[in-house]
Amino acid sequence: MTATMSDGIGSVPRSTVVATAGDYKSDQEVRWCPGCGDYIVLNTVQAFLPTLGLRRENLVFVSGIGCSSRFPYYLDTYGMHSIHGRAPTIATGMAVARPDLSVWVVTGDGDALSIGGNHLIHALRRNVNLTILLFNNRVYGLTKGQYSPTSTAGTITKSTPMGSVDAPLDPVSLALGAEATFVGRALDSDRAGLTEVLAPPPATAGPPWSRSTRTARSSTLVRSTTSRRRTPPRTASSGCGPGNRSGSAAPTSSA
Amino acid sequence: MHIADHDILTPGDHPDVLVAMNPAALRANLGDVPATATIIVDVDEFTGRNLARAGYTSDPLTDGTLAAHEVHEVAMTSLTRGAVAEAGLGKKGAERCRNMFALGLLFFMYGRAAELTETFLRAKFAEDRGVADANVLAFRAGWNYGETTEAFATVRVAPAVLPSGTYRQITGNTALAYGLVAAGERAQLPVLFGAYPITPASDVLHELTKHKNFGVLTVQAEDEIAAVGAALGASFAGALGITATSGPGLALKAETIGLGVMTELPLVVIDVQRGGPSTGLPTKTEQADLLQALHGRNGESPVPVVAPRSPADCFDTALEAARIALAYRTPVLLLSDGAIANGSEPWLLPEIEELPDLRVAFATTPNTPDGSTGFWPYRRDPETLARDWAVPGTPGLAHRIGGLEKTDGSGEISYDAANHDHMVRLRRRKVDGITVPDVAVDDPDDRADVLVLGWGSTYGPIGAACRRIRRAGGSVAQAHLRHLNPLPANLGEVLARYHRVVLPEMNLGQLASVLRARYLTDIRSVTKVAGMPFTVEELQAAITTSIEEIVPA
Ligand SMILES: Cc1ncc(C[n+]2csc(CCOP(=O)(O)OP(=O)(O)O)c2C)c(N)n1
Ligand code: SF4
Ligand SMILES: [Mg+2]
Repeated sequence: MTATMSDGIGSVPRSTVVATAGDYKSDQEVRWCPGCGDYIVLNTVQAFLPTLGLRRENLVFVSGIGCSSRFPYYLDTYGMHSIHGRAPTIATGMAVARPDLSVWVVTGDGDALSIGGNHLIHALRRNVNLTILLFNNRVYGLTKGQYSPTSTAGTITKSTPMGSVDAPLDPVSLALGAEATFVGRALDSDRAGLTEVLAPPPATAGPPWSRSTRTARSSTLVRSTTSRRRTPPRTASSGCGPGNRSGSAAPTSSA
Repeated sequence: MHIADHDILTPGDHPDVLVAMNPAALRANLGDVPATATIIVDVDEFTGRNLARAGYTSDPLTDGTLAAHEVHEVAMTSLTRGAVAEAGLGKKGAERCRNMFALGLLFFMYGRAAELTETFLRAKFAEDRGVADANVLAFRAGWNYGETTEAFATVRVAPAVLPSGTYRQITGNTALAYGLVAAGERAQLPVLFGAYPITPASDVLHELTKHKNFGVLTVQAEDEIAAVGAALGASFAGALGITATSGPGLALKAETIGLGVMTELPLVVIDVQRGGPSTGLPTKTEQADLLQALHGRNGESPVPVVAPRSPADCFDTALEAARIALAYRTPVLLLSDGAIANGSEPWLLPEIEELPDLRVAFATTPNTPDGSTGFWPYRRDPETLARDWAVPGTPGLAHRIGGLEKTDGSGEISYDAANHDHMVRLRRRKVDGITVPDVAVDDPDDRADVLVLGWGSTYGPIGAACRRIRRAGGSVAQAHLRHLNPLPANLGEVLARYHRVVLPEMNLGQLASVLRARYLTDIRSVTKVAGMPFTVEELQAAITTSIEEIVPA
């Protein structure tokens, strides 16, 4: 790759006006199941972004496919809801072509660790200027609750009626193995913890959060376990699918 | 090597001279050599051991194998060793110069000017004076050998009359790379080229890595999906995203190309075709990815397709692909093939300022119908149907796009049946409406009953076959398609004008089936999938048969 290695968000233009969480809310109706942990992550991110002090138009959120990947629609930034598992590739092109952008990937455990596993490890090791938020609910939410690469062995779902047999992947081990420059995790029920892992880590946040070396990028891997999913689903009906969705606010789409 | 007093269309079916540097080379190439050809061998290499290694049980130089040929036994190894002695190379290094001895001899036979070649050798080996001297000495020794032995017939080939200007030899892959660099220059956009190595496309990546000074970024991705993803992401960010691969890689890119169709972003996808299916014949040529290019995606997913016809034409075709991608905000597929990629021909260097202007205007102000704030990503130019393109960093125009169906204009996600029907037809209409030049027909005496139509690398052998038929007094028309989707507007009328249309393709008749379905016209398919281009003879015979059926000879 001929692009210069990233220097965190130091090359992203800063805003002269102070933004609010409201500035980052799009006009789209949020359509996750009531009680879904994704709401808390969204609210936390919306409240956090103004603290970066960046120009809002220089932020891009790219997602794959899944419930979590609807995220970009709810943020008033540039964004792309791409295809299943491939968001890190698209984000890599954006970040390489435009060092003045702060590029974020929003992905799920299926999106990032199953279909997109290869892209994830290469995005991490390549150290392009990206921040990746992985929403780990240990299930394929959007496709109605099949087990995922992070489901614990024995998880009973529609596709594993006798319980899943394969061992789960630990996203943090994977990210550390790929030598991501920053890895953090938090629970969705812990807003302070979520905010903490979103913030650029001190090692990469020297004024103004930029360094010219390889370690200067902030790659945040947030492992967010929804409060409803803190223990893996044990039965098909307790999965993150329609059987568990209440009423009319359930997502109206599948992908 | 092929020398002529006119532009050369193919490497030629059969040589007039074969230089065999050893028995194995003789054995491998003798099948292509007609009885009229002269054979020159390095007799020093025809030892018992080398003959046995090449699988000869008796010496072809004495057993009558070459009886029909004029054979020259030249002790090239020892003559070369003697000639380069003063350069002071070791025995091995000296013997390596034999190929220059052979070249010098051929230059004498064909009366070629030696100066350029000597200058080239001096420049190529500028680092090592001894090697440079030795190569030049061997080259001159070969020439002198031809002159003093008086054993070789000499042939004069007059210089070709070609448009004046500076020419260089160029391969198809290099010309593609240069075309992409030029496209970035003419669009005044950075180019992001994503690729995963694959034969025979890798040289495009290799070449582009040298042009960072022109704003070309290359990403060697983890696979073909990532390569096209990076290109598409770069396009969203306001660059010209490009990716190149071969057939197996195109299969992997399909879903992302579909995303490009849906998000209506510029993207150039190059497929340097090789023999398929699956891993197939990586180093051999074929044109069997046409239907994959046209249709190989889920849903109604129309994509413009262009194809260069020769190595040098890759330059212009790359610019054309970029023009369509940028002007219409669409993925464009460019189909080259192994024969073009590695083949080379003289290329007249263009004047950069005379190349097409590819600049695009990004959206910079709100475009909502009520003129208020905000951005409608699917608002279109009424003429081209290209959507407005706002790039990140532009204040006030933040928007989200993606693979889900969306409302025309506003770009809001929509599951509405009527809207989907409208959008599917609109995406098709946009591609159908791309302006492409009419196809030109070469019908010199205007009397031809038969039209030979082609696309891609068959241009060379088709052109050479038509020349031969005309020289023999026959009439035949030739037309060659650069645009395979959309097809030129005049193509239906052109096809209807002839009694018979012959369409040679290196596949089982893919374009023929497209044209039959589109124009309800019969097409005579001539197919070959042997990993090799058509020979001129093969096509001459096939075309002549078609002509004679209509006009009994
Ligand atoms: C190529 C492809 N294969 C399969 C799907 C179907 N699909 C959509 S989302 C998904 C799994 C999503 O799981 P995860 O990433 O964990 O997201 P969640 O919904 O749990 O947030 C699958 C299998 C698809 N959209 N595309
Ligand atoms: S299915 Fe699960 S992940 Fe999807 S919105 Fe509902 S609770 Fe959230
Ligand atoms: Mg999930």
